[in-house]
Amino acid sequence: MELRRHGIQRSIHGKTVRVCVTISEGRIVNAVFTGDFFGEPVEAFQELSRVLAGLKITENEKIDEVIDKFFEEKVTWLAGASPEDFKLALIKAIEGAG
Amino acid sequence: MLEVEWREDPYYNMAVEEALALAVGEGIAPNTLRFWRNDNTIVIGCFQCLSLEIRLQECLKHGVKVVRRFTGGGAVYHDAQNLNYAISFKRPSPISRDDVLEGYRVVGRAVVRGLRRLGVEANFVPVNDIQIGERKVSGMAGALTTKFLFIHGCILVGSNIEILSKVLNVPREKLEAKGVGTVRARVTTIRDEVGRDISMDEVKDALLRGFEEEFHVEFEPGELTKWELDVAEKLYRKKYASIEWNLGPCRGCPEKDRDIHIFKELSSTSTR
Repeated sequence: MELRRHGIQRSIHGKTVRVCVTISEGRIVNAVFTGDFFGEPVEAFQELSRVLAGLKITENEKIDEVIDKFFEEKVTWLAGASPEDFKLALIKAIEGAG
Repeated sequence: MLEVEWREDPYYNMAVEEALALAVGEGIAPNTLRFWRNDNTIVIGCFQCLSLEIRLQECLKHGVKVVRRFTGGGAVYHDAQNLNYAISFKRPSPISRDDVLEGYRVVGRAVVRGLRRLGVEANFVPVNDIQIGERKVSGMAGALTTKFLFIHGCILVGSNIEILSKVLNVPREKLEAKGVGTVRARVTTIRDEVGRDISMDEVKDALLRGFEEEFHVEFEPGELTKWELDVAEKLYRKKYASIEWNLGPCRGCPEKDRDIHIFKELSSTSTR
């Protein structure tokens, strides 16, 4: 059975990161991040869902590592939020999923 | 300086906005300041989720169109009493380090200078707002590519704040962070602040002078080039008038089909 959960993180940098995550059998199916932050390249942000897909929701360290690597390699600039906010939004969504 | 607008076609207005930045980046046009308006439209940030940020059923009820822009930031409501400003710089730009956040600060200063000419004391408030006291009157968004730095913003001259409050679904977390309970309490208009029926031309002229003072230039009136019109047409067809672009990142949302249906209905009334 698939679970859909939503997480929201208000960043200390001033903007909001939201995530809609779909979970099946304890693994992330997709995690769509949205919000009023700023960043480039715009298209790259949709890849974050793809790189997180398949990870176990209990593998917190692995999830953090994948998010850090994504921002280091794919994102040229991010403002109003930090990679930590993306992690926190996802953790909140996953915790809500039990 | 350009004053070109298609108020009844926000999709084309947005296509022109991106075409201008591209033309400046390519060196086809000089650094360009544009003033323009949409009528009765929500402009949503490029990373935002339609269903979460906008009350689409209310948009349908009030005939409010929705278009996604190519810059980040939050959803804003535009009507004919809201003035948009946009400035495109070829890199390297006059903004220190070509930094977008610094761009908000400098462009914010230009707008504050303009508002002062109208007798309104406003302040730039990071990340990207211009406020009068505790209330927001203008917000900005920007883009940085290898070729251009672009900043645009909208300023509430006399907009219908009641509709704005109905169609935007601002998260409770955001309002709490701003110390207010409702959108209505968070925003103001130039007309409310000056206490008279100020004209759009007066505001535009004051802002133009503010930009000229800040950037130490005199903007010459100009027209769109053929290159810009051609690129705008392509962007309009392939991007801004398309459902794919306007739906944005949420292609797997359970509400997607309902959103597509409403979007089609809202966009069907666009005329250039």
